[in-house]
Amino acid sequence: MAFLTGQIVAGLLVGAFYAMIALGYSMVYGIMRLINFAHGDLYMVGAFLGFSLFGIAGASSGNSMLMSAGIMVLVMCLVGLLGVAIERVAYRPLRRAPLLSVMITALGMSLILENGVLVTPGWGSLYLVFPASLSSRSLTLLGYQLTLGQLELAIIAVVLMAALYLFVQTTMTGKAMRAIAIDKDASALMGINVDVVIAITFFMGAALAGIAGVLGGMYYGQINYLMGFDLGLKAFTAAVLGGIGNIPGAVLGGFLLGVLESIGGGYLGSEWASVFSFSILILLLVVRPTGILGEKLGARM
Amino acid sequence: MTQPLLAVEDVSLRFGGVAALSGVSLELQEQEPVALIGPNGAGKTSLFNCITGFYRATEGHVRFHGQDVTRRRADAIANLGIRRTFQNLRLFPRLSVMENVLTGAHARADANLLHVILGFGGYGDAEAQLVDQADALLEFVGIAAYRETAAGDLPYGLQKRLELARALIGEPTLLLLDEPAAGLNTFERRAYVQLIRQINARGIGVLMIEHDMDMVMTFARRVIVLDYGKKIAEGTPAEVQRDPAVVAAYLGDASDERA
Amino acid sequence: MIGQSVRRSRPKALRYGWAGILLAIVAVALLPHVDPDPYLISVATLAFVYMGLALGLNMVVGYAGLLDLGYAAFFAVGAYGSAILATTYHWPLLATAPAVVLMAVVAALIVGGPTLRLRSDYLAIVTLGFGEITQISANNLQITGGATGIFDIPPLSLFGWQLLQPVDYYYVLLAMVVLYALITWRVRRSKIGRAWLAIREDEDAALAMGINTVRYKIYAYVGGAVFASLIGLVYGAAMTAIAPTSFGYPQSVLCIVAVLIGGMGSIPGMLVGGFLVEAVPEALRNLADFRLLLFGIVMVLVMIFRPQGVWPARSMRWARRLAGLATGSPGDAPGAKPEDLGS
Ligand SMILES: Nc1ncnc2c1ncn2[C@@H]1O[C@H](COP(=O)(O)OP(=O)(O)O)[C@@H](O)[C@H]1O
Ligand SMILES: [Mg+2]
Repeated sequence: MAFLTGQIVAGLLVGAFYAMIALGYSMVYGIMRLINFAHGDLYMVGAFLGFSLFGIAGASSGNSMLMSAGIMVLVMCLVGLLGVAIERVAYRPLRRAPLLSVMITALGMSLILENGVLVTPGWGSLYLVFPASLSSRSLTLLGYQLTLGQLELAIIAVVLMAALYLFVQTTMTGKAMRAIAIDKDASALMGINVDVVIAITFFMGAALAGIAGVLGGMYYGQINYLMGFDLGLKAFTAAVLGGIGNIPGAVLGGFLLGVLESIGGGYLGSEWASVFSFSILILLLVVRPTGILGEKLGARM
Repeated sequence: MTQPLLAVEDVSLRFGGVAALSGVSLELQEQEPVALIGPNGAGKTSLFNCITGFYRATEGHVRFHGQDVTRRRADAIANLGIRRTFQNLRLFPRLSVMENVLTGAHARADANLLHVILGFGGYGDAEAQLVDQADALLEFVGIAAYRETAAGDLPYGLQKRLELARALIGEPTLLLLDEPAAGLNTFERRAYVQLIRQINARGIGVLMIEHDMDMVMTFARRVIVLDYGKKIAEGTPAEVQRDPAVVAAYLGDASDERA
Repeated sequence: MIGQSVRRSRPKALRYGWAGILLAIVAVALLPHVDPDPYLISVATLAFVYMGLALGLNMVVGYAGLLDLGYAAFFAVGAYGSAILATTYHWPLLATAPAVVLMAVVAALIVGGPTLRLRSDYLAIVTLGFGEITQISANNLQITGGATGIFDIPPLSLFGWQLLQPVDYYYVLLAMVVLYALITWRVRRSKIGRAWLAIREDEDAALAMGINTVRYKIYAYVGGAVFASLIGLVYGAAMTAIAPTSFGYPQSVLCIVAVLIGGMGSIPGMLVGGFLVEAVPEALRNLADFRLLLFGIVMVLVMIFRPQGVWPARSMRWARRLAGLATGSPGDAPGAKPEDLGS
């Protein structure tokens, strides 16, 4: 039983990462019907930017709370802008192109990000030790042994996701996003600036992935240029699991997948955890392709 | 009384809260030329989609030659002999005109791999026969000169004709045309309606959505009017034009402009 | 073939076309005699592997318009399936071919069956997952030899004749590429090929033509799987050893790049593409880290500026000029050509 609880808590923490990335997939998919393959790699870019910024700031010694927060915000902005730039350069010219072309472009962007990091001096292909880490002071919560850092991670993730949810539900921009998701052309006719709203969507999704990258670096302690690939795939699975295009669904799917994978991996051996997740994805598509909270896939024409 | 070619029985279709069709019934006899009219958003295209299996009627039945096709897949219905055109042209733009037409003969071509790859089983002759038939149809609709051109490169009016040839090679007994003359000029319209009449004269039932009353008058013996998803009138073109309900329906939303 | 009328309308173009193709095959077949450099032969052999894979993936991506991001998995199914049967169970390698084809078909049905009923972008992500599952399994299972893979794969023997030299596999793979190209050419011109392209161009219109779109998408996916699995079988025999690193995501990406560079849907394009994805990295070997970066940039640029690829447009113009087919169609609108008529 203790083993199981342990796996569940570990799964929830991994699930927080899945959820943060899944949100970006889901928002972009909701609004543009595009699987943004480059999205997982934004998480990786965020981790590398955090690596360099902490390195410059010499954080390994001081590790002050304020500086960590400043770096996280900076990375959010930078990666957010990168997301906007990707949309502007690679996806916007293809907004009316066949789905296949756009997906191939997204795949190309993903390769550019991964291998761009690979060839950047100071980054490269090896695993790098992340210069900052989460607090390892332990505390007991509800009878379960936890580190302060894990708690911080969970709190940051939940706060950010809640903020995002509120933004989409309550602001005009959020309403515009939902309108565009339903009908892009009609929204444009109603006076919504579709380009701007799509840019904001990319910014938010990318920013969330960026800070997740910094947190990931701190949590796992090491980073690599391929770290976003696997995570992106899982996060997409999470988004589908929850019901793609649906924001609470993405969060739910993220945590659920994290827990399922952690339990499955706990019994089968961690090298099989990914196999377990992808098998869930395939199974899900057979049984309930709309995911847990998803609406019916749109009718034809 | 002979069995009708097509019978739509009490068909309703809802999208969430919106009722696109409510309790629509209509019949078409073999070889009959009928027009379907109604203001924009009346549910005409939705009705076509229910008949052809692209939408599934929420309630009611569609029978074709007496056979219930309500729950059939769209491709199966096409192969039973109902062919349609789309309101917005839906050709295969990067395929040649010839290949567009051949695609319409899908069910009649051979897909046995041994035949395809090695040419066994009279495969070459069967394909050549389809090509000859396609050529004849291109001749019939008047675009034989463009047979190797990409469909997307044809002028709009000729694309409309190609769409007809592509539907006809499926040897339908019922042809559904969704606003086929939209975007054509007066001259092209006249030629087009002549073509439809010839097709109809070959024994094919035609149900055509059309706003142009001149075309409706020259083509249809019977007109069915939809408004807000309901059938509000049915009769000869002259009767329908005088019908107060129809006049009201059209005047009622004079705000949205149409032919 | 489209039939007599086409043959009537451009006999010269066809005759020259066939002569050219035959000449090219003979030239390639003579290459090892002209220059028996082992390095050249090994690069050419691998280029044939990618050509074969590109031809297979072309059915899925180029014809049916479906994105398969885990294509290397079927290559792995062929290589591992035959190697395991041949080493652990001592089957003659050639006898594993039907079993390997069966495995590829079953795997493709399991992955594609449920997925191809959904919006086509789901296939991309599911195949990505399938590719990962396959590689992770190869890396961790006992029967696949884990990270070290499988050694001492026995040679192919054809008609009692053992293929021991690298150049033997050069010829086997060349023959396979020619065979694949021929099969592709015939299938493309049948109703199967027409159905695939119709689905790619407009799925709803394809349905209205009476095409069972799900079934034909599955055919494309299964067809691609079979092509890749048999190439995998021969690849294992040619290399005599296989390891999981040859069957991962980068290889799947290379296959897609090969299809793209050549121009989706064009048979000569697949040969050019397959050649380039093998030869370019060889030529730029000291820039190895830049390889995938370069391919990523190419993918984005091709999609934005020349989605129809490089080959098909040009081959069209040649074919027309050769055949003297002045169709009077407005010239060079990109993406609006009847494609690969010249292939
Ligand atoms: N896929 C769909 N989802 C939601 N509503 C739809 C859909 N298709 C049609 N409708 C609605 O059904 C009604 C009838 O539309 P339609 O059949 O296209 O009308 P018409 O062809 O007569 O102009 C409209 O209110 C339209 O908005
Ligand atoms: Mg309509």
